[in-house]
Amino acid sequence: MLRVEFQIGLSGIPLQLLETGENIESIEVDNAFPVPDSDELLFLTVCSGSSVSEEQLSADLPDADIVYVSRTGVSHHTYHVSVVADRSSLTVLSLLTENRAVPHRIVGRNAHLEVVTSVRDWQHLKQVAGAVEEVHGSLKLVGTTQTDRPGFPLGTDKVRQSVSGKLSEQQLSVLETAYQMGFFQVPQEATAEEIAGELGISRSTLSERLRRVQHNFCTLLFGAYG
Amino acid sequence: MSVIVVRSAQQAESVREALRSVVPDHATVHLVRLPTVDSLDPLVEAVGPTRNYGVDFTTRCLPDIPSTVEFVVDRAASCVCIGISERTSTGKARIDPLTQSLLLEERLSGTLVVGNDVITLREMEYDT
Repeated sequence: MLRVEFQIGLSGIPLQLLETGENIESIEVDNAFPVPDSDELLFLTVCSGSSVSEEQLSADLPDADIVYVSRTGVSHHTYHVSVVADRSSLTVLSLLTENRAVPHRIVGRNAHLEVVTSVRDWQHLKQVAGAVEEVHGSLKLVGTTQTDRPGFPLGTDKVRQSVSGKLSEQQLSVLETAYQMGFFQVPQEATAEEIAGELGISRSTLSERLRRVQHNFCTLLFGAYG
Repeated sequence: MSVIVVRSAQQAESVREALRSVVPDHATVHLVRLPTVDSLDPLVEAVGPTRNYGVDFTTRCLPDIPSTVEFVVDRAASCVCIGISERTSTGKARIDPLTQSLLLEERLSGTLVVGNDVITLREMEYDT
């Protein structure tokens, strides 16, 4: 089995949002379900440089029905958005499933759609690439790797969704600031003192909060302690 | 007959992996490069295809991607090895335009294997 990453031009909802949506930086497809009459229910994660309202999204997507919009990020403007739209609004997903390829990741950003999918073998790759090229004009293969398992379809946001509501805003803020400043990079790009300074807290408070976050993560992964 | 596509003069390890695990003993090997790659002489000297792997080999510079694809098709190579020179941030072997042209060429079929240093097209069949 092959895991393949490719890029195609923007189209449908990602194109509409990235071209007309103010400050929208990326759109990731988390899941999709068919709705009778050739529509589908799409679950999206939308990252923006500023606040996004349901009214604004409705204006940007006049042909889609916005089901809900909920903010997920702490210091960044990240939203879970659910819309009902015509299946043609995300043709690449239909093309992958029609051709029996497993879609893992579909992200619109930087003027193209990044797609990660699993295919059986070389022939299957050619079949899927041919179908995508026929509709989208051209396709750029980015990378490939061999894999024994097809992996999970879409929904790469599961961890974030699981954590949402289980960590406090304060804990998420500490974690995100530390992450964004490169605290978890090897080598470290920011010290504990710098993170604490940014957050306006002492180093010992930072340490305590990070340990609580780690403890809560472990609880989510492994169950209650003891 | 096997074709090894060399995408960088620094791909000695890719060529070694191809010669060690893919190319049959006593096979004839064509080491192919595009003009963007410098001379293969230092690489050949470092790898020693005949000395260390017992294969006959030629080196060629082909002018462009279509010529490289035609070279493979004309000679009906039994396998094609493409060195992996870079990986994506998620660890996938990066595919350049030459590799894409080979992978999506309608006339080629067979088995695609992604190794540590080499992408290999094996058991090649040709629809000409």
